[in-house]
Amino acid sequence: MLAALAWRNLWRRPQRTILSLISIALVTALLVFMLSFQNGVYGVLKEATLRIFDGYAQLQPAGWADDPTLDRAIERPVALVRQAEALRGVSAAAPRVNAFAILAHGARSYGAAVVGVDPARERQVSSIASTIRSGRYLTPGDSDAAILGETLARNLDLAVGGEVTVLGEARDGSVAADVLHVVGLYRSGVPDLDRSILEMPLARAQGVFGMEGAANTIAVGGPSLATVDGAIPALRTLGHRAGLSVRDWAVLEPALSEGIELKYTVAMLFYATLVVVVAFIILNTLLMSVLERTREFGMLLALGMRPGQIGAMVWIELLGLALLGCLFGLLLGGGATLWLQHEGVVVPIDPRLLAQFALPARLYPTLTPLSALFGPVSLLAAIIVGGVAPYLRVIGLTPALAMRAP
Amino acid sequence: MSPERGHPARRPAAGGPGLRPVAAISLLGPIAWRNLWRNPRRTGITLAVVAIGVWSILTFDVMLKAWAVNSRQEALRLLTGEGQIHAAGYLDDPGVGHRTPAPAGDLLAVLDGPMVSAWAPRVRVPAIIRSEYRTRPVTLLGVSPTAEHAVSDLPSQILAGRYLVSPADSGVVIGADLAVRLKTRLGKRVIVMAQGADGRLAERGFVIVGLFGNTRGAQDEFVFTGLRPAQAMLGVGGDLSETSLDVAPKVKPDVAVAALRRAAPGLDVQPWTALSPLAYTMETISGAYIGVWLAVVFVLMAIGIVNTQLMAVFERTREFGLLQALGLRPGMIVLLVMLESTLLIGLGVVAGVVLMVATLAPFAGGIDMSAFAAAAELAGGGGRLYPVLAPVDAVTLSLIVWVLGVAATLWPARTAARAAPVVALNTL
Amino acid sequence: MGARLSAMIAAGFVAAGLAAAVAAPGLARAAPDADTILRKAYDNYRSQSSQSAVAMTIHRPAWERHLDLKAWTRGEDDALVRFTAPSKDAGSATLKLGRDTWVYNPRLNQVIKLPASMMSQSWMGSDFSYDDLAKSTGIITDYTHRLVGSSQSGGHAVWTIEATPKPGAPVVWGKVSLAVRDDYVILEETFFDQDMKPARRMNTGKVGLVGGRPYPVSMTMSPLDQPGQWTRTDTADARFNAALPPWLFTLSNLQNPR
Repeated sequence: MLAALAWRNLWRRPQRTILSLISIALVTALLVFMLSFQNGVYGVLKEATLRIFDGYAQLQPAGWADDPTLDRAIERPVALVRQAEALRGVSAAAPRVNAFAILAHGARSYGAAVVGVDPARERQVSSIASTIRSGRYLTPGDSDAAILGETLARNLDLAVGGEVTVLGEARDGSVAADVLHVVGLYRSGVPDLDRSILEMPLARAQGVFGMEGAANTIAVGGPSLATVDGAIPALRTLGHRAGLSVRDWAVLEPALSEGIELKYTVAMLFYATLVVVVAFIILNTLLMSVLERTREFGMLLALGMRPGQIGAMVWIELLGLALLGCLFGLLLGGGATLWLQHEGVVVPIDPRLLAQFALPARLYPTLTPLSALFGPVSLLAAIIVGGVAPYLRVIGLTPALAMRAP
Repeated sequence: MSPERGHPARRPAAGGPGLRPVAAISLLGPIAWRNLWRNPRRTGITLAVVAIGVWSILTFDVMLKAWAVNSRQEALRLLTGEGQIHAAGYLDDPGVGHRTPAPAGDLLAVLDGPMVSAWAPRVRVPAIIRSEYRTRPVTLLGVSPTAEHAVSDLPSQILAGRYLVSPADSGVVIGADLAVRLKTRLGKRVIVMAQGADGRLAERGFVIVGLFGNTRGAQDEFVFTGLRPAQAMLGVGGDLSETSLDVAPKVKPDVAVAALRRAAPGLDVQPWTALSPLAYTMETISGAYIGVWLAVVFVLMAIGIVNTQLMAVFERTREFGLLQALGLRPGMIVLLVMLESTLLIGLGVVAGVVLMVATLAPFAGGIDMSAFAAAAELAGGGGRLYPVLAPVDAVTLSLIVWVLGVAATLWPARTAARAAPVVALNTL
Repeated sequence: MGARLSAMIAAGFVAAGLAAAVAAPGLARAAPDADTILRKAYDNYRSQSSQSAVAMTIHRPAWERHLDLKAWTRGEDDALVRFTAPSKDAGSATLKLGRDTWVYNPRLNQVIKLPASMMSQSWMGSDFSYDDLAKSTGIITDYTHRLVGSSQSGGHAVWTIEATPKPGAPVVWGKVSLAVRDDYVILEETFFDQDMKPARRMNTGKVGLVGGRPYPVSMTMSPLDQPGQWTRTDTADARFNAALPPWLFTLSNLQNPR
């Protein structure tokens, strides 16, 4: 019965009720959007870093990460690649040969990482292909083509069209030697990479380094980091059968993971403070409205309603208001976020600068259960708890004094 | 005129000669002030809301900006610094062949001058480190410890043993993870080999005197020893590979870089934005995100304040009815309400500003982030957050809130003021 | 003539006495000091110049490779190694002059200078690094030596020498223990880590007569922390202290052997 009273009370003063509802809803919507937007920003940072070369996850032979020698290899990569690409959330699995050799041109020689890649798949996993500044990337038909970082090319005094000698050690310890034609130069924006990597066609690398069809790692790419993360359990099963370990993004880029963790911790602190402040303000506003009804409460007391009942009725009003408001806010915020998640928010930076480093031009807020519920639930909880204040106030009223209130 | 319950009657336009504005204000002003204190609860609540709202906006503004700066510096404080000076060609081929003499003359003057807050000389070359069991490629850094402490976080991230104690210290400090990979320990000897100035491979034995933490990548790459032993080993005399520097807080990095370039025209001076372009672009994205944060905070506070104001006006419908019955014209009622708002919001804004200064002043020395870094399992580091009060921002934001708060009451006040007295007086 | 004869006899007695003293077991005080032993052992092994034909076997848990090579050394700093078999490695060569090293690959027909960063890479996939080719006499200059024991084996006295790194020496080992036979053949060299645990061992499997001197014909190098992995060199034929033409140790010869 108190609930029915409470409900009618709310609609007896439609202007104030609607006003409060709108405020609570807007506030909740913004809180939902804020956290989701934050997820989107971190998503961009993670994806941009991983896409340069690591990929969103990698399949590696056991022990390869600590000791990346050629003989730690994946013996039958073709089947594994096909199986990985069949998984939901994975769009490409790029096999690689990872060797270390001397590159020589004329009188200059430098040690560098030589990576044998499958160009069609590599493009989908690594953004090096999109940061080619001169010439072109490798194509599936290439046999003795190579691409290298601009800095490395400068050090070797090489240009597109030049020839580079590769000399290293094959898997069985014998000499691996080859001469390749430079077809393109890349600049990733990461100086260490531009100075140390040469990419060549996978089949040729397998021949030169005596791999006998094997690869050293398989880099996995997908429409987004989140989808690949979702596929990690399935990848682990796949890897386990083949005796390989699966390394997720946090293991591939621990510095990035730690940095984002730190940012996230601080951001949540800010967010929590924000929720507290917002709750305080909303609560105060509701309180003000309640305090103005002292005459009304006096009348109810005089009519025989007990203070406890009046207090409970008021509390239920607040609860109803908060629930409705938060619900609307959740729907509004969630809806807006999902729409933006689809459309994307334009990044306010010169698109050419972004394109230079193959960075996306749009941010995608990401709605997760946490981002959707943290704000509304905290706000609701704060209001429910804060609703005790008017209750206490009502308890202390006497009818006579109350009815005389201005 | 037949007012029915719920329908405010149409009133004729305010008749009679109106008071001139100044006279009106001087008449109503004191009444407005007293009105505020006739209802201390309502006034108190609105004050609290405005004060907290303004406090939030201003404090978040300062703290978010401090966070943005700290976040950017996080990468720089590892080793890069805000700017670096090298010999031409070093950045492409960071070997012993590209070196510079120690800073002197004009360059030294700028480095020691007011634009640069700290600078560190370094020998920095690719090298090989070797233990009994393993060999690994690393970057050898010959450094001056006091200078390093000023530009880098690394010296304070020692996990075992000690950092170097002087530029002549011939011990070596390596990453804890590297020690594990090399199957060696604190106190053991390792060999470091690097190409010397004469083109030959130079090698020295070094005892590991300290192990440092920080990110895995840093631990595996950097090997530190004193500046002099490194110079002696490579046979470069007093030359350096790089000079890393931090720009003074109030100075724009571009300005400092330009001054350095003028002082040393043959050398390659670069700000960090050019040294790590990808990192810079990503930090810019993070910065844009801070802008969204601020906008959201502002909107949230604005909603709160406007909401409070509107509620307050709606609560006073009876009061307005009474005033009208007493003869005050609607226009004057609105003016009264506006005056009250102006005073009230003004008070709240001032209170908010005072609160902001009170909460941030104790942290002028910076807030240590290591507690958060520990939570994030980042070995050492996190740097410090430096809240920088910006008076211009504070004044602008406060003014906007003030105007917004007052303007919010305009429309409901007009509506409420025009309600027929009989109707208004009977509102519950 | 009588005087000369008696002098000769006397000399013979002295020599025999000395020889007996050297050969007698347990007479450590009559053995030469550790420095001398090592110097003579390395002289025996390398001499002023050498020319040899060697078969190298590289063994790993998963495979085993055999290579034939010819090696020329001059003094302590210069060396030329050319592979002759199997056919896919034939013609590859490495030239070391002082502290610079070049490699030649016949398929590429190019001479490439080994960048400093590659010096610790393994040489032709063996358990030796390019660096090892460069530093074989470090044992004499960078360590202090002590004779710690003597034993008998196959009619020979075998001296055990402990070499401890001199302070500040660019040496990664805790100590090196060598076993040298009385005809100055190195039988074993064990490298200990700084915790005095054996980390690497060079072991002489067979001693034979090569180039007119006793020589460790078969030597095996194994890293003790990686079981199933070793490299063995078998010296088939060698000549020592012959005069080697100077054009041998040049880049042009590296590329185009005469």
